[in-house]
Amino acid sequence: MKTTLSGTEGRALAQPLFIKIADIMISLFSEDPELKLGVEGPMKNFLVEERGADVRVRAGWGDCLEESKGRMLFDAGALWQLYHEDGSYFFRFTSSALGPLPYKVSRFDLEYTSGNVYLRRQLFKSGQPIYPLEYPLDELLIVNLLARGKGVVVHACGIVDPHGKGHLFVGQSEAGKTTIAKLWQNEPNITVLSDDRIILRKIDKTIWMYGTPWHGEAELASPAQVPVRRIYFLRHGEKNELFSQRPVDALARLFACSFPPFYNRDALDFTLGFLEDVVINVPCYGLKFKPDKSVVEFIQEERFT
Amino acid sequence: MKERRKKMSSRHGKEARQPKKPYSKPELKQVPLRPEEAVLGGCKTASASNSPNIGGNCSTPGNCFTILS
Repeated sequence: MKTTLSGTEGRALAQPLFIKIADIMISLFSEDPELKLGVEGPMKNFLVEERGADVRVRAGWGDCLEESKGRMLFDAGALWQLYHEDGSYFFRFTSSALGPLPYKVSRFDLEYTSGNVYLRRQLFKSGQPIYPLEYPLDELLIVNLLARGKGVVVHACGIVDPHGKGHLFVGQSEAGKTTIAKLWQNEPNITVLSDDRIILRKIDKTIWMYGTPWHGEAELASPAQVPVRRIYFLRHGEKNELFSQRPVDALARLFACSFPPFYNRDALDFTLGFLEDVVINVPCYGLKFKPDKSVVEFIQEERFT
Repeated sequence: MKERRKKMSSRHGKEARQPKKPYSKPELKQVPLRPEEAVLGGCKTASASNSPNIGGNCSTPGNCFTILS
């Protein structure tokens, strides 16, 4: 099947969007004036005025989205599949509620420097702004760009304390990330970078954490960044307790809470090496916590700061 | 040669004086991985969806996305 696009000849293009996540710039533009671009909610925090792009993505409508003729590299289940074609990667996005046909397809060059995304026109209301990179495509794009020697996305809540130090609370779903974020949220001079996803990067021998737009239930998402002071692996408990964590255990737990491209050997190799660097350079602890304000005081106590 | 032997024996002496680490049995620790989460294969709270357009996939309409009616 062929992707068919609406005619754009002689018409002004829609306003492009520039999105910056963990210092990675995405330039998103529409090839069709009828495809208006826009974002809502916390993603707005990641729109920037500055120009430039690590990756340029062109968006367009498709009446009948093409299927890949390439080799399937990865099947993430009901939500998306990745194919490798000659000189490009092809993502196919489906929804169980919308039937077996893709509602969106996207193709990128092998270095993820440019790509396009096509949306099945009949599923979208015309005239309303649309964000064609909507999850999971934006996160997949950043995950793949980071995995080229830049960093790693981790399942974590990130807090910046009043001294500007970063506290990273790592855990899978239900571990307590949103609970921790909400407990800290109204403390004075505190910034919550995210209650669900944090990007780690190493800049000048320092491990930094960046907020992301992929928030949890608390919908907290800040584009700020700070050096990581401590890493805590979350567990619910009857009281607040901190346990030292051997680097080897911390590495295993951090890896289990990261989002590497499992379908790329080099990327996995980089991710493991990078996370090893993280656990060697940043003190790691297990944290059992009582879900009330006492955990905030516990972490802020002088002996732990 | 004598000098080298002296150095060697002095080094061995130092090593001998260091207390031996007690033997600990190798242990296998299992760290749970949640595949669906790790591969971004699950629903996510919508952050940029312009309702009533499409967002991520979720079997419960109204959570992640709203379908056009």
